[in-house]
Amino acid sequence: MTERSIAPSGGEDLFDKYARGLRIIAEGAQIDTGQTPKEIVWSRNKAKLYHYQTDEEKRHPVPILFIYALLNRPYCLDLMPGNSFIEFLVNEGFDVYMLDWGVPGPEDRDMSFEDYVLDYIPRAVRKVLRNSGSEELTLFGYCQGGVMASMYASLMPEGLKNLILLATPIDCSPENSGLYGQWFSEKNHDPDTVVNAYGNLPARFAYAGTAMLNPVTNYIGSNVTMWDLIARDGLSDSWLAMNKWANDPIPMPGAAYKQWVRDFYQENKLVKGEIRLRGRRVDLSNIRMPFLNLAGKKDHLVFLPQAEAVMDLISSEDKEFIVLDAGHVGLLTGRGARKNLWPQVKNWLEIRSG
Amino acid sequence: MLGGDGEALMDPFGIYRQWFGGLEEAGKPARSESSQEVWIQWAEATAGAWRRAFGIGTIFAGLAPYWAEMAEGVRKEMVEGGLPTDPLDLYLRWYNATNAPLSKMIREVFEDEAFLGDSRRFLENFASVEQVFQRASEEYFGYLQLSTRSDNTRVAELVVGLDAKVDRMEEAFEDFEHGHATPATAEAVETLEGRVKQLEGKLDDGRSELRRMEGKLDQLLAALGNSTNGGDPQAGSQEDVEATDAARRKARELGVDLREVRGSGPGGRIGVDDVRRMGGAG
Repeated sequence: MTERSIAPSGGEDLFDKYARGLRIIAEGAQIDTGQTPKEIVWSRNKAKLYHYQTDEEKRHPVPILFIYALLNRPYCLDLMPGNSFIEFLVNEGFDVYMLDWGVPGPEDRDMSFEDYVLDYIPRAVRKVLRNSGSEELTLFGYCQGGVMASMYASLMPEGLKNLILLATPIDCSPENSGLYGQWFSEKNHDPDTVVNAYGNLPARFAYAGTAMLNPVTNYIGSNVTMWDLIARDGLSDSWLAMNKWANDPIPMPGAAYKQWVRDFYQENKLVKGEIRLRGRRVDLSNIRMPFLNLAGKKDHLVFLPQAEAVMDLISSEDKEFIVLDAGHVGLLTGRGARKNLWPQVKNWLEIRSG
Repeated sequence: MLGGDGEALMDPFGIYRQWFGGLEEAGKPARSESSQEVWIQWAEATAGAWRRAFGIGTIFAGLAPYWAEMAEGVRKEMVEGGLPTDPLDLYLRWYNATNAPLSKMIREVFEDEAFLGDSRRFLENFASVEQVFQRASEEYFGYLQLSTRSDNTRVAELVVGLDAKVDRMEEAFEDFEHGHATPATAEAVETLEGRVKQLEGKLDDGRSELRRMEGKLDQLLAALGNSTNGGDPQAGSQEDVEATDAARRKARELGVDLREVRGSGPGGRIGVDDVRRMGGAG
């Protein structure tokens, strides 16, 4: 016997543990997520604009609007009480809004970045300004949402007080974007293959695309960790919530997926200033507002050079690039986030949200 | 990069046969010994079988070091870790022993362009099969007069379009509400009143101007009448006749010469009725 042994105290206990683990494997982790109280202030098609409610006094008049990615569900920003970035900001007296793109259906296969950046985001921005009575807001984009936020900020900078990007792949040249870049190269992937057959990028493809970057850890390791935790000190709510989120992918609209692969990865148009949305050229040098850029050292989806590239392209004088010791999602949640990302964002925003 | 000899490739299960062969060997002398001994023999046999399996070249040649590392890791973990207490323990240790080299191995495969080329072709085939199948089921359900997913999608598209229209109207309404409903201030009201007065003044000016013009027109008409009638004994302007304004208008309307009308008003003044009587008679 070794100290690592998970020798059970009794047969019943052992049975219990197996039952718990098997249940999660069969049904997925069951736990309530995204619990910070919110009100839907605007909706169109599947998209919803949330306004987070609090009894806390609003100490910062400039509201924050989160723009989330088209992949995955946005509740990783509001995972659960005590482990939620949004709850933290709300408790710090910020007025927080989030644009949730919702789950696209087959009828949304033609939704493209034009629709999101030129129709949905401007509408959401106006709605937030009217709802809050503020003249300006802070736009906060995460991952793909950051790409959309930066495009919006380049085209319509009016009304934006600050811009914050978190784990945002601006430069997707093959030498910077790792395995994803290689997979998405013209030689290896034609997005039409998937879009013509399915309309949208199916959720299971989206999931596999991410999981396959590190298949042993994602497909087997997560189960191993679960069994290990069950055997030792039981599963924490945070683990359950994280596990639920990681196994809860959504489809991506076909037209947007094609653009994502072709324009952003294969041709890397954003850094070259060649993205055109309904004829309007996206020029990142139009960004002049105070700018904060955050990225994770261990991020294997968005690498540091991908995120850092934007620093030389914008015109903001007040700009900062912060590298945190975390991965793509670890940036947002958990103990590390509480010590790093959350207070860094708070400190930066506090003096710029007057 | 993709190695291995042809013979081994024809027998993809060779590796497993080798492995189970090894396990059988391990099982033979075990009858009389302790379970711990059996375990160690089993682990050694497994690792040995892996090594041999690699020897026959069933997998990518470039992956040899990882494969060897994995076999050694398992051997070490299993032999030194002792007998597992339950299947879960075995599972955890197995994972710990194989995780790192296996990940590296898979990574190398995924980065291999030949593999990616194959994957692309696989995805293309897979997708085209899916497309054919979808088309076939679409037709099939069409024959059965049942609605298909694309029918539902068309309906959903209409709903989405309608939703967008409603949203645009909503926004237009909001713009109106927020853009024009600014509360009136006292100054604003005063300037407005001032403007109204100015307008009224201008209107009055306009009216007197009009009156002057009317007078001139009448004079012109009279002059015209004089020149056409030549030396009419009843010469003299209609202006000289006493008549009410309304009577003059009526007279112009009916083409009646006021000088021929007998006035029934005080002092022989001509009223509208007088003109009408004359017009009716003429």
